[in-house]
Amino acid sequence: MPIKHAVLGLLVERRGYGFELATRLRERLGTGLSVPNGTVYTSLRTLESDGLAQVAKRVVRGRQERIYFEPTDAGVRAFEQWMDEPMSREPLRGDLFLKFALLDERHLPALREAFERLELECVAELAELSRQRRLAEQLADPVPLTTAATWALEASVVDHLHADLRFVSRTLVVLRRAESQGAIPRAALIESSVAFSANLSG
Amino acid sequence: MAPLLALRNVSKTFTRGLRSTVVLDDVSLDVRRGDFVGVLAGRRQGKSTLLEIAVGMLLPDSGDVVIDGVAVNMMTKRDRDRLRRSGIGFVRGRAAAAVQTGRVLDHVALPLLSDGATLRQARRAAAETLARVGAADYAYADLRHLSESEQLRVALAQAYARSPRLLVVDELTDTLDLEERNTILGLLQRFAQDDEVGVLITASDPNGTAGCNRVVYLSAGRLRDPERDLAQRLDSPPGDVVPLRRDDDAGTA
Repeated sequence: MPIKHAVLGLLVERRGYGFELATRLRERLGTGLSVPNGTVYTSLRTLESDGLAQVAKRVVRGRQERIYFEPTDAGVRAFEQWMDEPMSREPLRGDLFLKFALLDERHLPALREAFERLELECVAELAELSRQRRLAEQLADPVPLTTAATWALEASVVDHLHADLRFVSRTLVVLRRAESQGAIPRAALIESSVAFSANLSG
Repeated sequence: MAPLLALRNVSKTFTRGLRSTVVLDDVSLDVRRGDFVGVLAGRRQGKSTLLEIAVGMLLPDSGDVVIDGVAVNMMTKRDRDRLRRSGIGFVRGRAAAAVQTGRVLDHVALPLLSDGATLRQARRAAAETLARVGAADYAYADLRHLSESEQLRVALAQAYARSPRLLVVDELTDTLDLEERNTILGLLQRFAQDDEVGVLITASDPNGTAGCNRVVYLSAGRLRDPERDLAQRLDSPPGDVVPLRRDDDAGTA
């Protein structure tokens, strides 16, 4: 699981404890690409049991105990190896696509409702991203590497979300028409493809 | 505080021959002072129709349009035109990019002259606004010789020179490259933040809404507004509707 490697990478940079690592990860990933804190804690445990990270020190403050982790030599090597590995693109095989591919009339209303909820979720995330995204003029020039990486990541999260939103909207046209009329006029299907295709002009 | 612009259950259908298309289906939207609202939508999803209704150029089939507490759809066309001149800046990206000629400064000063300013006052205000939008360098150039993004800045300056309370921009940013678009969005963001103007724009991809403090989505005639739909708050009162008699003067509304 790649999150484990990302957490290991943060430890290679400098040691840290669970909450601090989760915060650092969130800063690096930018808005929109969120990783729950719990995942970071789980990753730390896995890294420890795999011998890739170890406890550096424990700091007790009041009732809270902070456990600082640091990478082992094997951990540093594992991280470097992971960074150098070739990558592949993520395949489209989420629930969203598979369920739509396998639907029949019985499932139409439930699926339509689910897609309407997804549409709103996508818009909500895009709205949040629009609010948070820094405009070019707000960046220092030249842009430091970590900021530039976050900027590029955010742009790809936006593209990803937009592609999902277009898929959901186009699908909703099909689902609504199928629900009310059983079949979809050809012109409506083609129009929905054009309306929600990647932006060519306006 | 009543919103600057309130659309309440607005619907609009266009009929062409036997085919009728529901472009807006029970759409509600508020724009308050200092808001920077982006309407995201695919092609032919009614973005321009929504804006034309929002500035009173087009009337909805049903529903209310309230600008600064004044119900626009109760007004005569003349009153609506007057309201649009006095309080609303409307920029169409495409039309702005159409070829025009004449000196940039005069182009921006012209509406001020027609509002009654002297030539000197109008030119001074025009020069200030051009500087504000970063177009001071070509204030004395001819419009024909400007690039697309420069023409857009000039169109923005022309709309903004009259100090509108509501600035409505249709597709301004879609024809620009990412960097130019980003700069214009920054400009609009500052209008909203610094001048407390309500800014309403449309975009067909979410890079065109960067910097907006609210984004809504228009699809198949329905407006999805996460702020409204997710919270499902019904406690925010709608804008006060003040119906106008036909001959009331709405210019100061």
